[in-house]
Amino acid sequence: MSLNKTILLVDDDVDLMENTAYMIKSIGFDVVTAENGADAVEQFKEVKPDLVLMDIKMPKMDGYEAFFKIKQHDSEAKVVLITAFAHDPKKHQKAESMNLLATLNKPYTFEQLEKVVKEYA
Amino acid sequence: MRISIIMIIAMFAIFLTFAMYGMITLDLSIEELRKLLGTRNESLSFNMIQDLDENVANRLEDFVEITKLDHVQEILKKSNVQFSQINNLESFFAQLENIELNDKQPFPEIVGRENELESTLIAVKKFYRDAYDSSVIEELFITNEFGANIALGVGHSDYRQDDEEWWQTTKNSGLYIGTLEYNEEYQSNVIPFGLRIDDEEGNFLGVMRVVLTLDDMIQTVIDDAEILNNPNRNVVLLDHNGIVVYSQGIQNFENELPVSYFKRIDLEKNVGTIQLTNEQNEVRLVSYARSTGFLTFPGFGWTILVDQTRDSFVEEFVDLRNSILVISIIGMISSVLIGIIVSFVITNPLKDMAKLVKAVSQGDFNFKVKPSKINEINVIGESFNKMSDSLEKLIETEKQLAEAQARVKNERLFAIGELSASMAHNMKNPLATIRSSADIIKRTSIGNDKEISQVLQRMDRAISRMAHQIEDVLNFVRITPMNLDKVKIYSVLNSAIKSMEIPQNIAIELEKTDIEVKCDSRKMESVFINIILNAIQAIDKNMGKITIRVKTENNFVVIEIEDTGPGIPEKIMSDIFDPLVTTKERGTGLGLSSCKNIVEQHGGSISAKNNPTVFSVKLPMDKE
Repeated sequence: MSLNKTILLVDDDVDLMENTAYMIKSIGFDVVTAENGADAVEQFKEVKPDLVLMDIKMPKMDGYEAFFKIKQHDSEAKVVLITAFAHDPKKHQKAESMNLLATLNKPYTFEQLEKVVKEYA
Repeated sequence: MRISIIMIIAMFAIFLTFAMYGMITLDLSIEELRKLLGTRNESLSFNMIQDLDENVANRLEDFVEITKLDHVQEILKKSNVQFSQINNLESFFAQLENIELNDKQPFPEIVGRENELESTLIAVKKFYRDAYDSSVIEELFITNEFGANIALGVGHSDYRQDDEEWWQTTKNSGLYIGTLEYNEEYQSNVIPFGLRIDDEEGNFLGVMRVVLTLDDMIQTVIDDAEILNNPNRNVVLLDHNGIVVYSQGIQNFENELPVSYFKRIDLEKNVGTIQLTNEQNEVRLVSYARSTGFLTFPGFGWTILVDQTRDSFVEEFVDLRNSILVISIIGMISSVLIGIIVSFVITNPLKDMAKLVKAVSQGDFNFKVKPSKINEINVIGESFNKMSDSLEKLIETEKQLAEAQARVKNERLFAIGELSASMAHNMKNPLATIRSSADIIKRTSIGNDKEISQVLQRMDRAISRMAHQIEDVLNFVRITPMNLDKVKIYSVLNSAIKSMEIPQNIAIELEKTDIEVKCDSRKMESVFINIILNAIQAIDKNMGKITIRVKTENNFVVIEIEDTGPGIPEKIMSDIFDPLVTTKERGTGLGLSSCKNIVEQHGGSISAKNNPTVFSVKLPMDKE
């Protein structure tokens, strides 16, 4: 077991996910990945990561659903949602009320990503 | 002027003219009738006195016939011869001075008495008594040519008569007519006559004296008078002295003074009318006719008056005058009533129609003209109502058509929007991958190379521009539900201005108003921000002013934003609200198009014009 903090990164876009995972690892974090919401919830239960970075628009189960499931499982879970566009203000509002840490807008820069991860992880 | 007032005035004038014409005509007629009244009464009195004269003349004629009888003349001739042989006639008469002859006592056996003649006269008396059932003859005797009373049939008399004035008058003129007057002894109105008796050659033979009672004839006059009398008309009989013999149903012989106006009756004229005024200022017309005789009978000087108050007969016209007045007043009152009814029946519906037209012009189709009892008005009223209904339907149809068109357009736009949103979104992931890739390269050893670093910076700028474009497109197509709230339009405008950085060279003028509108304030704010931002960019670095006005027009709130900038190029004026139309180098051409979407989503409209540059946003007012 590494002493590094673990980040659960969830995105259906594998290229972007791998790039992002690379960037997170490069600043000294362990990364666990998932490609959809359902998978993410399973991984969360298993790995218990220090921070979840999760895309909203995904097949099978979207980011919000997965967020609610994770929060149901562990209300202390730390989650940052990655969004291309805040297209569902109601769910977003609900998520914010359930202690959503932040949202990261695509396309994000290395600096933006680094800031969020270092702040919340 | 209202039609009802014109009608009232016209009808008033008609009835007033009618009343005045009626009154004037009536007055003229009355005046004419007044003149006729005198003439009518004159002929009444004339007819009455003529009848009396004729009756008296006829009766006198009977006695003239007696004087012509042969045996009367024979006896007289014999008597005259006998008397002519008396030597001293004066002394003969003197001996008989005190003898009074009387038909009630035996006639004294004196010289010259003619029994046969007496019998004839008594027979005459008897005839009249039988015929008239009363004594008609009060005195009847005959004298010979020397004045000696030779035969007495009725009454009493002196023996000698030649010393009497009447006897001389008769002898000289052939006829004596005494005064008709009341005789106490006979208790009747009597008139003495003297008839000269001539032979066939015209030689004087003697004189016949007859005193006749005219009571029966006067009674006939009085009977006639009583028929003619009425409260306003009085027939009066005057004797030759002007003393009243009969008046108002009373035969009165105690008045000894003639009527006051007797002197005024023109004694030269036999028929006439005089006018009298009494203390009560009542004018009386007194028409008169005097006895002027009949054929040879010259009359006896009495007068018949018809006395009538001049205005009494006017009373017969009072009813007529009253009915003219009543008709006129009823007419005037009814003209006012008709005016009111007309006003109610015609003017009010017309007002209603005017109201309906006004209501329709303001877009209110609920107003209806009330049904009227007048068919023609009803037809017009219903036409107006139908027009209103048809207009409402037409406008409703147009609205539905426009809505349908808008819906089709919206559906198409929605589909395009969905597609664009999905495309934009999908482009963000690869873009994020590119950016992250570039960032990763930057942090490697290659990234530290100076030239590669510049390449990566260009790549960064390109990524930023793409991201911005994608964001704009997403903003444009994003159709989120409206969050409607009743807000003051002023506060929306104010918060839009405050959220912007207004350059020093530009002044913004915003009037404060309390006008409220139901809208999504955040969306409307972005609309105003867009328009004001455009204005600021148009004014650029010049000194300028932006004026914002808010007003209401029909059922809309109109917000006008005017700027002093150079205006919108005419070339793109017609399609500035279409997407992708821009004059800015780095503009997306989606700003005004977004504004239009938002305003239309509110059921409003947006328009622009030049000189000065004004953008008008029209929002429907909250109807509640």
